[in-house]
Formats: sequence, C-alpha cells, structure tokens
Amino acid sequence: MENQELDIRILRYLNSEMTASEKAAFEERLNLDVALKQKVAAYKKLEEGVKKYGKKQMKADLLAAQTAVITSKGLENYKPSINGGGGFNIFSFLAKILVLGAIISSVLVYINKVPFEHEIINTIHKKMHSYDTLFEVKYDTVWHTVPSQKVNKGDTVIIRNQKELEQFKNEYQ
Amino acid sequence: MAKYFIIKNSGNFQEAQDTFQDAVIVLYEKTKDSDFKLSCTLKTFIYSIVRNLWLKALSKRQKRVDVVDFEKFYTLEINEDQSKKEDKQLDKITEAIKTLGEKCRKILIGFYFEQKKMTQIAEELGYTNAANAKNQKYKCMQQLKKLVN
Repeated sequence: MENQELDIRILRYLNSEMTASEKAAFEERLNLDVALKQKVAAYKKLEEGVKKYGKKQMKADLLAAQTAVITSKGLENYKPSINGGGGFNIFSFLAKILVLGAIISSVLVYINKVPFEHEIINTIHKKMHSYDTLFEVKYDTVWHTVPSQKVNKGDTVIIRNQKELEQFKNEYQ
Repeated sequence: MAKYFIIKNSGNFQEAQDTFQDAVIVLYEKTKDSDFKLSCTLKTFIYSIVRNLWLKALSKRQKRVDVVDFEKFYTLEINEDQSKKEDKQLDKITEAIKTLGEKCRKILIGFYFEQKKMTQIAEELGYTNAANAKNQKYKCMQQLKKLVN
C-alpha cells in the first residue's frame, strides 16, 4: 500500500500534478533519497517507452495508409526505378516530353494552325524573284525589329509574327 | 519531393518512406506544442524536416554526400529522438505495453504520446470523470512497471 502511494506520488510529480509546496517537499526528499531517485528514473523510462510505442503505432498506421493509397491507385506492382527507389527517371521523362511534343505538333499541323513558316518562305521566294532582292528571314529568333524602309539587299529581316509579315508584304509588294 | 531528396542523396525507397513517416511524426509533435507556428508552406516544412533527419542519419553513418536539393528549405532544430536509440530496456517496455489491456494502452498513449487532456481521455474511453481516468492511468503505469520488472 505504501509503495502504491509512493508510485502515485512519483507519477504526480512527473506529470506536473503536484502543488508548488508538494513539489518542493518531494524534490527535497529526492535530493537525499537515492532509492527514490532510482524509482523516479524508472518511471521516466516507462513514460519514454510509452512514447516510443506511440510513435511505432503511428508509423505503422502511416505505412498502412501509404500502402492503401498506392493500392487504391492500382499501383500494386509499382517498382521504384532509381537505386531501388521510386521516382524520377530522366530518360522516361524526356521520352514523354518528346512524344507529347510530337503529338501536339501533329495536331496543330493537321488543323492548319501553323502555316506561318510556309508563308514566310513563299514571301522570301517572291521577293527573290520579283524584286531580285535577297532577304534572309529569321522568323524564330528575335533580335530587333528592322523598319522595313531601311532594308537593303543582303540585310537580315526579323519577322516575329503574322502582323509583321503582313506589314513586310505591304511595303515590298 | 522528400522521396526524391533521399533517393538522390544516397538513400533508397525504403529509407525514404521511413524518413517521411518520421517527418510526419515530428510534424505531429510540433503541432502539439502551443508555441509552434508554421512560418512557411507545409510542403517546405515537411521537406525541411526530411532533409534534416536524413542528413543526421547520413552523418551517423559517417557518409559524406554533396547534397542535392529540390526545394527551398528552412534550417530546423529537431531534438534528438531518444526513442530511436538502441535501448534494450525501452524495447522491453514496448513489448510489455503490448500485453496491457486495450484501455490501459489507450490511456497511456493518449496521455503521454498524444498529449490529450484527462477530460478528453475520460470522455473517449467512457470514464465518468477525469479523476477516474487519472486513477486508471496510475494503475496502468503500475501494472506496466510490474510487467517490466
């Protein structure tokens, strides 16, 4: 019985459930009593053990949750690709980008959304034949916009968009 | 992101998963601290914890790595996790907890790990009041002590 009461006092001390005066008296005794010190240390260890058990349980729950997420997405056979780990594979990523790019380009060409390049080339040919002037047109690299009136034979003309192309045509036709 | 960080820095999938779980537990414990304020995005915070835990793990293994980062991070101070240390006495205690009754386990974990108030524990476990739940907590600890000794 006496031991039980002492145990409860130790727990009340460790759980900060004592009044200030109780705590002071307990600590005074603690400083003198080696056996009591050992008992307090033993209970501290038990508390630590409970926390460790709680963490273990939480980790187990997290693992179960992660597994549930993976399996619910139909990734049961998911195999990590780097160092036995999951994730990012640069080759696979680049391959996906290339395939995606090819698909988008094909679709755009199909629906005739990119006639721009052909039009520019045609314009260059027209200029070459009709006016005997050679213009090099860089439609994909923007350096600066050259006012059309200053264009001379051998100059580089940068046409960035359809509007500029129209302007170019109007002024040179 | 956390997974990539560990895999790109000498870890494997298993270690990434394990460290991520530890990071979630650290986050959980931080949220229990009334002084805790999240001063960045949750993603950055978790990444910072994972980074910190993993660099500590690598330094324990005396492994030098030129760290590759994937996200901005904060320097965090995480207390050394005592429960992760090899300790036969602690292992004995955790084994003993498994043999306690379910209610005892719930009271102890609720109080010491989840840091719940006794009134909440009393309510959840069907005790008439907090004092009764507290008495039960004392009994459970005494029982655990007997099991360990």
